[in-house]
Amino acid sequence: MDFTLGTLLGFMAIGLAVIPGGYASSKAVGMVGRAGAGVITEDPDKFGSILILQALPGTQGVYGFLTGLSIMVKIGVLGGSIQALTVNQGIMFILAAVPVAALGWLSAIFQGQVAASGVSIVAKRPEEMGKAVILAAMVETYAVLALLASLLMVLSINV
Amino acid sequence: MAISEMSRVTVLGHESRIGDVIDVLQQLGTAEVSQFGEDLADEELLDLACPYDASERIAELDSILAELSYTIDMMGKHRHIKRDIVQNFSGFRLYMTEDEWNAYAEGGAEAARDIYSRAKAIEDTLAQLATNEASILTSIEILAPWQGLDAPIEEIRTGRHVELVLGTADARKLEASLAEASEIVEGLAWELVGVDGERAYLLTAYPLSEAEEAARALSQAGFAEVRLDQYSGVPRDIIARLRKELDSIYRRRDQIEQEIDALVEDRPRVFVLHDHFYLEREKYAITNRFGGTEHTFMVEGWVQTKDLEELRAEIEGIADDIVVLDRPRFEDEEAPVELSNKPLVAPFEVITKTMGYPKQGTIDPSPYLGPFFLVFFGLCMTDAVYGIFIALVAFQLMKKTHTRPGEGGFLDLIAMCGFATIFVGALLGGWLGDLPKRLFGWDTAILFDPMESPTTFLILSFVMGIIHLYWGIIIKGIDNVKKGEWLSAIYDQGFWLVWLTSLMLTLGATALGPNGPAIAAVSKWFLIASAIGLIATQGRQHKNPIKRIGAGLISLYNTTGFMSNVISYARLFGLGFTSTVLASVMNDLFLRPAGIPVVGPVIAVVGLAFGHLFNILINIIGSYVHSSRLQYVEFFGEFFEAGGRRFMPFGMSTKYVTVENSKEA
Repeated sequence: MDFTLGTLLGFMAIGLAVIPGGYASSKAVGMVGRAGAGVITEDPDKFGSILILQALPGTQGVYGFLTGLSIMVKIGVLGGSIQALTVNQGIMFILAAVPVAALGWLSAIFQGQVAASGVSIVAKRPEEMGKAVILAAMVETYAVLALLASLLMVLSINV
Repeated sequence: MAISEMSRVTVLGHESRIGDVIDVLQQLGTAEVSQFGEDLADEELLDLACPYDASERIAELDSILAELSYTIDMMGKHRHIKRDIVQNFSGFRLYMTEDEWNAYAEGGAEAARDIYSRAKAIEDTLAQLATNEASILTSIEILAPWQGLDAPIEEIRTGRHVELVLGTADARKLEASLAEASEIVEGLAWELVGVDGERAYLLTAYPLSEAEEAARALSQAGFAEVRLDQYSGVPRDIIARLRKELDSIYRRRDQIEQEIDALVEDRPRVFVLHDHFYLEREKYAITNRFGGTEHTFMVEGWVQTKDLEELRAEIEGIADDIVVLDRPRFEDEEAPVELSNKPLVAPFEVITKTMGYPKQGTIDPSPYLGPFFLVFFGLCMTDAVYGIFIALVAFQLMKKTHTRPGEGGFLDLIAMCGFATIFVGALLGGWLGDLPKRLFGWDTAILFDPMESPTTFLILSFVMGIIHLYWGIIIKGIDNVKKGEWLSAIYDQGFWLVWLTSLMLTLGATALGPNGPAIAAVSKWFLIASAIGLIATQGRQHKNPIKRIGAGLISLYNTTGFMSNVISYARLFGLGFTSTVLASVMNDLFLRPAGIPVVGPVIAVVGLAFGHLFNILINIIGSYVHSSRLQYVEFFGEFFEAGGRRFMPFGMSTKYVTVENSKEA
């Protein structure tokens, strides 16, 4: 295997893409879970609604992972023969990972806060649960846009 | 269609008919009962109170309901209701026929009291048993170290010449310290009853004449007196007796468990009784909304105009002295809103209702958003096999929740989403991602392959967005025309559509190929004309000509709002592409080990199944939610007027039981 600084930078880009979104998603999902557990103690029937709310801020982790995966495909991590990248290519991968890393991180936390507040909607007015979901989903828009930007950049890099 | 027409009904009758009328209203479940006299002044109302006072009966029913709820909770505490996965989400419900319901409800209040007293007796006994058990266990713990004592406890006391004392001391220093004490006190004797770790349990004896001396010496030796006055008898025997009592407590508890089993066996009866009395309570409670005179009652409410005649026939059919009056809704009157649509459109009401009910007299968006919602959902999932899976799950869930396809519920919507996903998935060639290509080299994409031309997918998303938004503007325009506001339709929607279209054609001319410049040359003039039109008309509410033109100019700024709305549709690409890429990664990952002999294909099949299931699960919520959001935020923004109050008819709403195949369902 050709071992270059560019390849190392590419691996760094994978980590950069995967870690912040996953970290923030797990934090946000945990936040909603803790708020939801209280409601479930009172009324176990609300488990389904709470679960959906809890799942919402989990997507940023997936977006980060997805960006990481597409970098892996590009570099050839999955194919078993890792490409020798130039330093510029490595840096480009890192830059491509930045949007999903930064926005995935921030938006997951914010979305988690909205979803955790939505738990009280489910507790008090379960029939309005759809609104709680939509409120939380509004935040996700910017994570989707960041994913889009990152993916388009990754796919445009010629290796 | 769309928003139901509402009629205001008033029912008048003699006091004696009040029960019959309420029964009919509840059975039909089509009328919303308003608070009588909500439009009257307080002084006028004073003389028009309902002749029937239900508060006593309501209190009675409340106490029965409280007892039944207690019983249900108590049963739930001891025996869990078995639920399947679906019920974990939807909550527990019992389904039965009307005959079964009647059989269970037969006992009435007496049966309810009886079941409650059984539940209460069980709880009381269990509490008593727990207290007894705790006190026995404490006694055994206290007496256990004294098992070596052969004398009855009550004989360890002060005699005529000798004092007997029980106590404990440090086992390690026992010999030395007591020897020391016996040197000081003459006649001090002791017997080791038992040792438990570091504590030694002793019986000591000394002459009464030396009592003071002995007490001091013993306490210096680290001896602490223990009094067991509350017991009598030999400790060994006492413990044996207590153990027997303990056994009988445990046996009693087993019996109680059987009693609980027997009680839980009767759980359906408790549920039915609860719902039976709940409906009964509702009937009495509704009279609070009635008005009346000394001997008559009056009910006011709303009913969907299509249900009016049935309601009239049923109520006037009770007796000749009941009158049903009706009138249409006044133009500016706040009537509750109910949506009614053909079966194919009805499922989309779910989406509208999530946002809230449209204002009375405006547009019900359900029929218009339907096709877009389905296509958006399909674009987000992008896989035909996923669509098949979703549709199958929806039908399976319908079976479990006892709903039939076509009832216009949420599951119908999901089933339709499944079909749409099959269609869109087939167009974009997603059959478990790119599995056919990997296995057989088939190129399955009919329209284009998202993996190969992501930009086409992105442009498709924008185009869908433009069509969707145009559609919203056109709906608003048609609504204006229907209201007779032709000029608004031309100024606000007509000019706006021409402006947007010509703007896009002019700016995007280069992308239109060889004819681009020619198109741009024409569209430029449309652009200018529509701009002038907008500037001239968009400030028409202002009298001042400068303000008028200013407002017109500012209206052109809305173009940025339109553009940012269009960009928002990029989420379709984002979610769809995510699902495609993830599917392809799953295939890549799990087809790798397929070459290993014997276990390889097994790993591949199981891995692919789990991988794709995972992909469906993480995508389905997002697909639903984001397809909804594009309706609420982008589409509804063009024409939707919120603020309708939901129509809540008085009817048979039960908590635990659903009666099937009858009107009560």
